[in-house]
Amino acid sequence: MIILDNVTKIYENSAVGVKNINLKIKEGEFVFIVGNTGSGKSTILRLLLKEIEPSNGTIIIGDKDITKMSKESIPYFRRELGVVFQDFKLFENKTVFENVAFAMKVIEESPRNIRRTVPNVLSTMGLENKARCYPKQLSGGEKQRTAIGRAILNNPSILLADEPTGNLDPKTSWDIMKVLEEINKNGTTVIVVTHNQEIVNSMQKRVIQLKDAKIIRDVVKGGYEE
Amino acid sequence: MKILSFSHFIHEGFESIFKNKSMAFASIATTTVCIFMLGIAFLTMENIEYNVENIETGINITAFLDENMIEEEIDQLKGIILKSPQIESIDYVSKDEAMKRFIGDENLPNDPELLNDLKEDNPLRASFEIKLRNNKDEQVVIELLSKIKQIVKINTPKEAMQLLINLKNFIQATSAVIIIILVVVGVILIGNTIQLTVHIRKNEIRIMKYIGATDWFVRWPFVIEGLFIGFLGTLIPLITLFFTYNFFVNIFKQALSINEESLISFMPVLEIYQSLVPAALILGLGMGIVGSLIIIRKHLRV
Repeated sequence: MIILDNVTKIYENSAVGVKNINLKIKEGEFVFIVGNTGSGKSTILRLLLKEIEPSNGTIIIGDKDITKMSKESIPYFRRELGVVFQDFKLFENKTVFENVAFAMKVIEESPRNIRRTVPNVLSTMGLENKARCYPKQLSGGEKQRTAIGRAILNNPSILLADEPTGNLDPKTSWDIMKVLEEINKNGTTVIVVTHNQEIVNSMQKRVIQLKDAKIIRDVVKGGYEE
Repeated sequence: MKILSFSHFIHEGFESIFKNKSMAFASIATTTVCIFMLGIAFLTMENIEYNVENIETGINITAFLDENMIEEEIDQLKGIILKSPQIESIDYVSKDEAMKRFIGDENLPNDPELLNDLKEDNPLRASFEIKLRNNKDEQVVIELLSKIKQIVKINTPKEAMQLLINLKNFIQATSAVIIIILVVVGVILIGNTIQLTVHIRKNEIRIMKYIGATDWFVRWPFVIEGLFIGFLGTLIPLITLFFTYNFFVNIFKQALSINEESLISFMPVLEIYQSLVPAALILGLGMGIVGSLIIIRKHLRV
């Protein structure tokens, strides 16, 4: 369960990121967070990642109040999340295998375990033939699948995706959304921040719409409304 | 830290050096230049100080003795004075010895008649040339000597000695300032190079942090990279200076016509390296590690 209780974020330059946000996301849900640029979508994601602190309010993820979490605990908390970005954020000097494996190296898994687990994930992502390729040798879709592979390697309970289709063509975007839907079917809570109206309208999932730093709509099954 | 992680850090550190060759080269070159300049300053200062000390220890107090003293009394007096802890040694210069030295003085006018007269009726006094353990005790020893009746006059090279002490202090202060300036310049230069490297790789640092890497997991490869760069950047100038030192010493010796008997001499390179190597290593490795830790800090706030 993810709970945002009356969360407000005001940045140092006095810009309002989000204001009085109240939100509950149950385990295993698939949620779209939509809205125009500057509406507060990315602020919510950054708050959930504990990249920034709320100015007010409480954020609970699982059984942890992350607003009271110590700095030292943040890395261990992040290992329970998977995160995917619009710009993929891959290590350019590492192969697909190494990029995915890095998530296990961070948690100090043994090389044996890494060698056993990574090929399975690459296979799930349809990247078994790309293991030795570097990111610059991949298409946009393959890059995003590598990033998703890395994000789900340690079986996170929550997957956060920030505009995962932002840099992809429509067909590839659909492929990526299918992958995310598949991950969600296996029990992972998936939160997708997006601009992509077509995908939101077609998938008919829960939609939380933001405007001017506030939630203006929250529907269990819906589409994108201007 | 697990051994597995340590091997990962070593691998990542070295991989980063090879994959960012130009930055690594720039960092090594910067460290090399800094340590090289520092090495030259160090070698120069050590040699100047060494020579000042040599000249300083060659200066003696001369105590002239009463003409009526017989040899036994002189020996006795020498024994008494030698008991003083401030005195290292005493050389007795007899009247004849004093005359020999006087005649041997190149500055003396060439007047054989005058010299013959002097030889016949030697007006010079016998003396003790007293060498001190530490020139700072000069005043104590003079006071001690002036209480002895048989000593009729004391000559001290006070001005020369003060000049040398002042010169030595000046050189020490100057060398400290030069070394501090070089260290500051070195830290700034190396800091800039590391900053550039970290800037290029800040994306990688962010990714690691998003995946859940601890701060030290991110830092270690940078520290190992800094250590390696610092080590190579120190080793290169140390080896270069080691092999070129004697070459330049010989050039100086020829240019200044310095031989074995000259007042000026040069320290053996091995002797200087006993203090230069640890100082340069601490500085080179320290600059690499501290620089990387300070600059990486702001990128860890993700």
